[in-house]
Amino acid sequence: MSAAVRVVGLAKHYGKGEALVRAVDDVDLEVASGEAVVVTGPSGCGKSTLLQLMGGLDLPTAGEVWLGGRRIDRDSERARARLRRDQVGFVFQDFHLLDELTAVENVELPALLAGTPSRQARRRALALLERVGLDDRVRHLPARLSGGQKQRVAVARALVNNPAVVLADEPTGNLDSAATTEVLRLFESLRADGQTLVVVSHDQRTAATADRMVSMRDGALIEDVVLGPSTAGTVDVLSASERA
Amino acid sequence: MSRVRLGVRLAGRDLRRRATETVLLFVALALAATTLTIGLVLHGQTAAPYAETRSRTRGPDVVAVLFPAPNQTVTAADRASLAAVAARPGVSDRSRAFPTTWTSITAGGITGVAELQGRDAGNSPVDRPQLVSGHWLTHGDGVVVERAFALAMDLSVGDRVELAGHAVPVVGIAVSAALPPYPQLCTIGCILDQPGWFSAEPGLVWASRQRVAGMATPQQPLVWFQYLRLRDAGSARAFAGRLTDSGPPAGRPELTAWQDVAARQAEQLASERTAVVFASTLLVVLALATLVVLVGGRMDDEVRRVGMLKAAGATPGFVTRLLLASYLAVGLVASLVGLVAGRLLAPRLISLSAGLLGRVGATSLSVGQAVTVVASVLVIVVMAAVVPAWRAARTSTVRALASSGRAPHRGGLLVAVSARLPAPALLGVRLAARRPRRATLTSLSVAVAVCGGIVVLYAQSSLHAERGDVGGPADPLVAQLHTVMTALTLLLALMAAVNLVFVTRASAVDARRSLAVARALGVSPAEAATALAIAQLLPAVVGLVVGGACGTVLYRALSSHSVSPSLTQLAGLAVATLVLSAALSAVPARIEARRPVADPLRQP
Repeated sequence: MSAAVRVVGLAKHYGKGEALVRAVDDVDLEVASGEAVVVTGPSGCGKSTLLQLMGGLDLPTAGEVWLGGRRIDRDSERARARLRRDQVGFVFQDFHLLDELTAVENVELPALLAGTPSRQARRRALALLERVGLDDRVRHLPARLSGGQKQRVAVARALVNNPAVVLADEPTGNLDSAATTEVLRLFESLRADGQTLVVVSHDQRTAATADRMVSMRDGALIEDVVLGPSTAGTVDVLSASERA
Repeated sequence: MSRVRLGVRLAGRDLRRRATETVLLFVALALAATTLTIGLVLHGQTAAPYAETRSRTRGPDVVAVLFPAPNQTVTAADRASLAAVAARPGVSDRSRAFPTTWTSITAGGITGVAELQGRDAGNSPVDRPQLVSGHWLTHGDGVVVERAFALAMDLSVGDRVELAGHAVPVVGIAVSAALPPYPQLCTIGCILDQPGWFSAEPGLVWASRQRVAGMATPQQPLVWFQYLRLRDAGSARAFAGRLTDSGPPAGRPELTAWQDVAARQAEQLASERTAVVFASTLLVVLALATLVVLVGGRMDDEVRRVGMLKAAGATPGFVTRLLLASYLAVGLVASLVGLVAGRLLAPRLISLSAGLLGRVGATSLSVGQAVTVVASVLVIVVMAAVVPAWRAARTSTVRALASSGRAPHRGGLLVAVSARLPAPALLGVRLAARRPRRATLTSLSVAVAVCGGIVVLYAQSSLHAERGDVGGPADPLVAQLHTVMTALTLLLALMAAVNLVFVTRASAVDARRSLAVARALGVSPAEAATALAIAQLLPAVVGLVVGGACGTVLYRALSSHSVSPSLTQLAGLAVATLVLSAALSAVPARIEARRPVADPLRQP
């Protein structure tokens, strides 16, 4: 399998001297196309920064970032923006839906920004909302959706341009248990469909949706575990055992 | 006392914390205060100059003019009628009769018509023109020129003028209240029986009696002026009316009351005063619009701080006073700076009707005027800040602490329409739609500036048309009006520019997270900056259209003689407005779009 995302010797430092913070420190990681990787670790260990560097939202202090076989850490902001539009889908912990847009308008937005004709963008957005189980909420504003529903809208938005990789930053961090299960089920189905996924999470249940689990501490990778073939219904099993 | 000290410290730190907004607030208020000051200084001066000139020159209450019958001259017997008028009951003092004629005048390549009045070397009991430079007529050959006419002819003491081909030195420049200054002199009566003089506007020149008598021709015979003072100056109109009512003046003098001369001069100054009052009003509207945006934007940000203060034990009353205090402090300092700036600028902008004495340069702002300016600015501040401050202070502490700012408005139709547009326009339209009040204020601000600009264009076109076909020396009042209107338009444009920069910045800060999301979804910084600029340009276009219509309607309502500006001028104003709006929006938009995209996405 070819690498969808690859980082080599990646570092991101803030501050100077004694105040120097090594948010990401000499990280090597490769995510194959179609692979689902979960990045775990304690709060402040650099997981989110790593994800932002992989998606070209931020530039590293040192090291290389490769996306779809192309090195992006030396690209201009404009070039990285184009790459994000075409190849990356982001899912955020705080959803970051635009409050004034309905669910379907939020989902179709990246497609419209990419120049997709409006009818085609709307059709694609409606299909994705149906896929995430929100076909009865398409005209709802974010304020009228539950946390789980908002995150499912955000996932649909991340998928609308058929990205090569979906990068999710603590997608269940702001959700209750039931909503977490909804969203993890969705990730599990994405993985089953061969979508490349990198999910940052400190929720152990997220591992059930992944092929690999990478652990971080103090900005460095400390463990990289292949989880083996997953079994359908893992999320449900974990959720049931948690409830018990 | 300790609570006062705490309040002062908190207000001071809040202002420092948001230095850019504080500076913009300060500039907006200082500009408003400057214009108000100029307006008040001008009003004070235009209200009194004729009265002051009349008093200082022993101006006449009635002007008697004796014209000859057609193709004849005024004889000594005819002049007895002047003496008869001067002998009527109620007359307390009179001048000698002054011979007057009209002749061509040339100096420095400018040619005009002079109304040449023969005067004595000594002081006249009535009408003693006040010299502003040089000296009065002595036994020499010189002439004294009325100040407005001297300005128009670009004359100063020592220059030589040609009167009907005779070179004569200018020995003095003076003002008088007896006759209206150039170019209104002929409203009292002229004989301009020369080819090319039909539409000329003569200016007053005082010369010796001998010179004037020598200049008279059969076409320009001598006319005799006599100035009278009455025991009761208020009865001048009735005095003049009694003679006029008894039939046409065949061999009798025409009488004009001082009130009619004063009215003519007030008419001249009215346009200048109207321009300043109009511009001051527009500037106050702009200042208020700026403040509403500014205070609204700041209050959104203040709500969480209010929650923290209330959680720490501050009462709603303390919070309201605290929020108001910071704005009032800026308002107070800005109004003082505006007062000084206005006081310094006023004499440069306003020289009054050049033919009056006025008090420009010597006038200082009265205490009452200064208090009016400071109070006006503080009232504007309170009007803009009191409601949001009160509302913020009364928000529940829990809600205030959890506040994530004002929810954006959903412009459903604009969202649907914008879906068909390219990325920057799509985002720009949606950004404009999510804050309709702010967009309306941007439109208002541009509309007010354009309205002012259109009025100036109309005024200039009308002035040009009125004076353009007359030839001869330029009207100094017209030049002065041009200066005043241009300066006030610049102030208006400056205020609108400050407003636009502030609104763009407020919009950029407000849209920071939305734009960060858009950039995470693949929008480039340039597209984000363009979107922000478009969000300001759309309301600016609306403002341009509304302002254009408002200016046209307003000028036509205010002025009886309106000449439309050329299409090129109107198109130039429109293009300049749009280009300036785009350029001013682009600066804060580009600064905002250059920020790292990851930061706003990390914040809760």
